[in-house]
Amino acid sequence: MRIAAGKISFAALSVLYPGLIFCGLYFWGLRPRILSLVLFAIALVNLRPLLKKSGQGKRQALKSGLLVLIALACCALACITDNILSLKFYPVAVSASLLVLFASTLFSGPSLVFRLACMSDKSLDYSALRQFVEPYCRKVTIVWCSFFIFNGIAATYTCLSGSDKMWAVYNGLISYILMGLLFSGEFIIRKKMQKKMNQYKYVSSFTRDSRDSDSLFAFDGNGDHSIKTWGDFVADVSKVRQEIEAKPQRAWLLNCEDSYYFVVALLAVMQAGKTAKISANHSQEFVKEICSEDVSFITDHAAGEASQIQDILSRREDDGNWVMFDPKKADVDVYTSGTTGKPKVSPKKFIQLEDEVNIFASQFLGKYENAFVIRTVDHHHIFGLTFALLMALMSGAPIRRNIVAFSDELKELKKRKLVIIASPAFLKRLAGSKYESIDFAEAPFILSAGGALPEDAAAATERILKYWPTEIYGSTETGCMAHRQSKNGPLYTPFPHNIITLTQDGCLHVESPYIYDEGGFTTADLIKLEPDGRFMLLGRTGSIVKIEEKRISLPEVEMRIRQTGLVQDVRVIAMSGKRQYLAAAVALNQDGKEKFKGARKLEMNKFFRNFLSQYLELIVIPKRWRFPDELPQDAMGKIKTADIQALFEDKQEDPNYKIHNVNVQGNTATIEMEVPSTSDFFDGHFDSFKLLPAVVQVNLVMNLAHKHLGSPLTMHKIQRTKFMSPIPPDTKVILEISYDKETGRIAFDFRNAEGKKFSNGSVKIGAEA
Amino acid sequence: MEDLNSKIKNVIISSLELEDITPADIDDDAPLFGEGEGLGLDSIDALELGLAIKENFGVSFTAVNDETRKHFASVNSLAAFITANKQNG
Repeated sequence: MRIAAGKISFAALSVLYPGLIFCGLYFWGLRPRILSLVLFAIALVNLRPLLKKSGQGKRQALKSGLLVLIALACCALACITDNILSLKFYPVAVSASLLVLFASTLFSGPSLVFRLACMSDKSLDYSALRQFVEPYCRKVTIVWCSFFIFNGIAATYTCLSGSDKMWAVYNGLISYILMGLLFSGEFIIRKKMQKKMNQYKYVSSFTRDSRDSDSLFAFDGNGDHSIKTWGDFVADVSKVRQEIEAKPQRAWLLNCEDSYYFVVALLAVMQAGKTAKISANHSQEFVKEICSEDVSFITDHAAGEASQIQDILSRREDDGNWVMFDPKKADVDVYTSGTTGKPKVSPKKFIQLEDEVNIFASQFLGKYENAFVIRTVDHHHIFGLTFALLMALMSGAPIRRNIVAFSDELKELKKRKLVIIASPAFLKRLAGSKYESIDFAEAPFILSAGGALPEDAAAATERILKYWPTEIYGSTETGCMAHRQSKNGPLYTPFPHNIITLTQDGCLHVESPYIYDEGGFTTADLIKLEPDGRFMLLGRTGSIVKIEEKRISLPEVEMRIRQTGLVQDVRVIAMSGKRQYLAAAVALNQDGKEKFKGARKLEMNKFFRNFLSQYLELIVIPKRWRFPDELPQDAMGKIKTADIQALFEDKQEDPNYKIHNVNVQGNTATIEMEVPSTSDFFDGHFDSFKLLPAVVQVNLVMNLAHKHLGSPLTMHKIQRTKFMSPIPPDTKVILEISYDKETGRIAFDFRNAEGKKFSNGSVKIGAEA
Repeated sequence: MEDLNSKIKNVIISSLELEDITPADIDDDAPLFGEGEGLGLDSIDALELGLAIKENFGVSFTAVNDETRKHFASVNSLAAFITANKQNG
């Protein structure tokens, strides 16, 4: 109460100051020395709260202190010199001190105006809207700083050159009018911005008229009839909700190809107070396994006994209701893709999903402003669900109903501002294709998650789609934790309010207000944590293996292989057979492909092994190598260890020849094949005029007969051969082999499809020499 | 001698399950073990190969010492070792 009284008397004194001084001089005939008492009073009023130290901020204290000092200084000067000028200078000094106060926060941030805004709305600090409010407040702070500069200069001018009257009119009236104008102008702009910001809200806080009923809600690639407005959405949710309420089942399995139907069904299930089970898998066996007396199935494609959403929409009427639900109680079970094989269920509350989106929005909400959201990923997985659907819903961005499967479709959307929710799988394919760049009217925003995006794929994406993808690091358990654009280096920046620490084992541990488990969550990801809080991913804990008692981190070996600069992607796995060893699957980049053009695999193995021997012990240098064009990955862009293992399980096809077709009948095999010009078979024989040497032909016959007819590999002698015409490289040939076990004879015949004969003959097999 | 060398090479390839290497790729004088231009075999391979040589040629290495390491240096030295021990035995 006392402080309030002090504030009011201070404000009154400050506002009236120029008038008081003017009246004192002209009407009451007081000397400046006497008038300086007014300043003394101002100092006194400000001194009181300062002495009390009652819970005021440092900055507040600074402000009061500064004013006291200025007032006392001016007062003292006026007393000593008895000159009016020092009294007139007080408004200048006040302007200057306010300038210092405001401007200092511009450098040490957050700006003063933002601090004031946070004082009136405490939630602002944690809100996704902060990213809009903060820069806005900063601008306002700058505007005020400019005003104080102008006002200070104007006040100085009135002190020095103007009349006393002019001084009083400017400082006592004009200056206040200007301030008032500034305040009201800013207020109007702020209200407009707030209206725009209010578009962003939690799904659970939606009401029937959260958005204009004719505003665009969902669209598709095939014209106007697929467009859905907010009005359609609320009506359809009402219809499906009634259907779900009418059924006894407690939980509903959701699977819709169309994102619009999906969100309608999801909201309807939530509003009906039931559990939503979200799964990309809708195979008959899976549905049968999940569904029971208590669990029903809703979908947008025909599937047995399921409720078809289109059917419900045409049958039911909008009852005009919109049921609010408690997001803290609403259950959403999200099934994972099951990297390890069996789909796992991750039970969540709806609020967790919303909070997750909110963390993300705290950085990227602006990207969704006036944008259209399209996806190349499945919306049943957590990544697509949160960023393509919930984020779009919360920010009010229209949703593309169907998945964008072909990159050609992107061209049709180039006039729009896009948010593209993509998987590394999609972007890698796009990067590997010969797509010309798309001249988007405005650069899109591209998100990638689910696995690391190789840097050259990211670079190619930027070339084609005009944006270097932002990668999100997160998991179903933790939500999104950090983000990066790999062109700025490999480090991930945590989202605000995520506290990342390192466990003793070197794993990432995260705490955030949105993880409800006490003590946070420890991931299985090994990281290197920088002092500034950013981090680099080093691999999974499972990635440390022991090879014959020697501990080695697989990511380290991968990192060294990458250092050759010849590699687009690489995975190293531990294998065991007769012994334990490492095996490396390497997809070469353009440089690598050029370097090893026409090289034998053995040379490539040797190159990498020699390179690694600079850094690693022999025992942990990969023993086996595969050089596929691309590493095998699933639809989510995840590279599964099992798929890499599969690369090593069978000896790879011999690169020296290609088998197109094999037909075995009895003891005869007919094989369609060709020998590429890169084959070793041509080495050293007539380099300028390559032909398949006779000895190689016989060898091929022996090997293929062994493989397809089960003959022994050892040859006793060549009985008869006839070479009629040479076999040049890249010629499709038909090889017919027959094996007579009784006589131990293999007969062969090389010809082409047109019947042209190359060679034939027979070989006698024999016991080991 | 030539025959023995190629037999040794076959034993190396099959016992160590080497990939992408044919007997022709193994130089008679190239080092089998250690870094550099040879086969780059490691200590586990050495154990494995010792067993395979015993099985295939009937000669065994009693102890791992500098002497045996010398015998393991190349195909040629292995061949010499096998020949010498067979004659003795």
